[in-house]
Amino acid sequence: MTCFIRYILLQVAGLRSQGMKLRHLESFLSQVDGFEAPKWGLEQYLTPPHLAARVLHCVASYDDLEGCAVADLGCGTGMLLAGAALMDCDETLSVGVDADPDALSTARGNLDKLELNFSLLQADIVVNNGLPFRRVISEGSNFDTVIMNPPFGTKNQGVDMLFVRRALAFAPIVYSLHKTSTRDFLMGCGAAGCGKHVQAEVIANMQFEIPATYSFHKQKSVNIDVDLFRFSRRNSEDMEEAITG
Amino acid sequence: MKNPISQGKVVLMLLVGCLEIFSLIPPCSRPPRIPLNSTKKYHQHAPTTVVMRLITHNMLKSNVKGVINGFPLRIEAEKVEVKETEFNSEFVQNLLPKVDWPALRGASKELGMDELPEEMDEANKTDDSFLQLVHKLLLDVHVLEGSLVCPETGRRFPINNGIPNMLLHEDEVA
Repeated sequence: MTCFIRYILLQVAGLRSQGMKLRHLESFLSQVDGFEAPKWGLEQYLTPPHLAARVLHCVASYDDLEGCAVADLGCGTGMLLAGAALMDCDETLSVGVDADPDALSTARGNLDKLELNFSLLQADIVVNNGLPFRRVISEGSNFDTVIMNPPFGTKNQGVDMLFVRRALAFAPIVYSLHKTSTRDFLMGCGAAGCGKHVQAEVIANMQFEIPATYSFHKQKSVNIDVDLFRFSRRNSEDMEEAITG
Repeated sequence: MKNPISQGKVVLMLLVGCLEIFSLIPPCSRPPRIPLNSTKKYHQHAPTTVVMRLITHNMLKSNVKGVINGFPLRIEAEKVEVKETEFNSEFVQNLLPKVDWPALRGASKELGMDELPEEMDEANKTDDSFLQLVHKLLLDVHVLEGSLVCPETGRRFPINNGIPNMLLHEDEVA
């Protein structure tokens, strides 16, 4: 009997601690400032803290966060990076990349405010030779994990897949948010157009609450179903082919 | 009896009591690194945290159309800052295989920092004072203002407030 009660209590305590962590992460992330003037051309939407916290929890549950060098392509104002820092990724080796100087300057403010130690980089991910990284092949990759919320490809079709491919060039594991309505497309294209060398799986289904951001948004806010994808290279030797193919 | 307390109720009360104790003692999570109600001022004009470290420089190359290698980028620094961080020899050891040694050596020279040996040998990899030097160069030396210069075309990529701007012009895109 006592054993049973102990067991129940431990379970409850465990759940509580998880819930606490999630709540703590979420309230920490609510301090992250959003875009001052979001640009529709870049499909800039702030990842809601609630969603970001859950994404990072999923990533952490796969053991791809603690002590890892993380990159965020299209980091915007740095929401996912800030969360990754709280979950103990390796800040000094982590980088946020964005093309928009305004977003980057807000990101800088956020990192300053939250006393985080990331590097930021201004580069265009969409153009072919946009990412200025040399390829570290001898010993793993430039980064351990990429966590990103790329444009959904509503304005520029195919941008979401481009982001995934670029990310896979510099990290063996990529977590990425995509619209659920494009799931079949992403899976069907041989894991985001990377052929058989990349494994894609949907590890969570979430809701992205988009408040009315742009003038053409009629409703106050819309909930969009999104999938958290986990892309992983099957074999590092196939990397070249996977990315260029 | 006016106030009947059944055995079930006693167990229930005990359980609730236990739960309360549990909620009083915070579960074994690490303390937050940054207190949520941090009163630290938001200093927008004196950025301190966003910087370009040499480890980042070590990963960057010039992607201008037609460039073959584009690596390593020359550093023309205008404002450099050295901020000491905690040293961990194992961490640096794990980092070494990812580092391009000649590039780090060149960067260190360009910034007028300590001289590094031409080659890194096995003895170096376990020598703490050597690792400390590498740690300082890779992680503690920060370039705040200046430019990165493509070794082949001479194209300059400006570093503003610690953020390198690697955006390409239209005619540089492949």
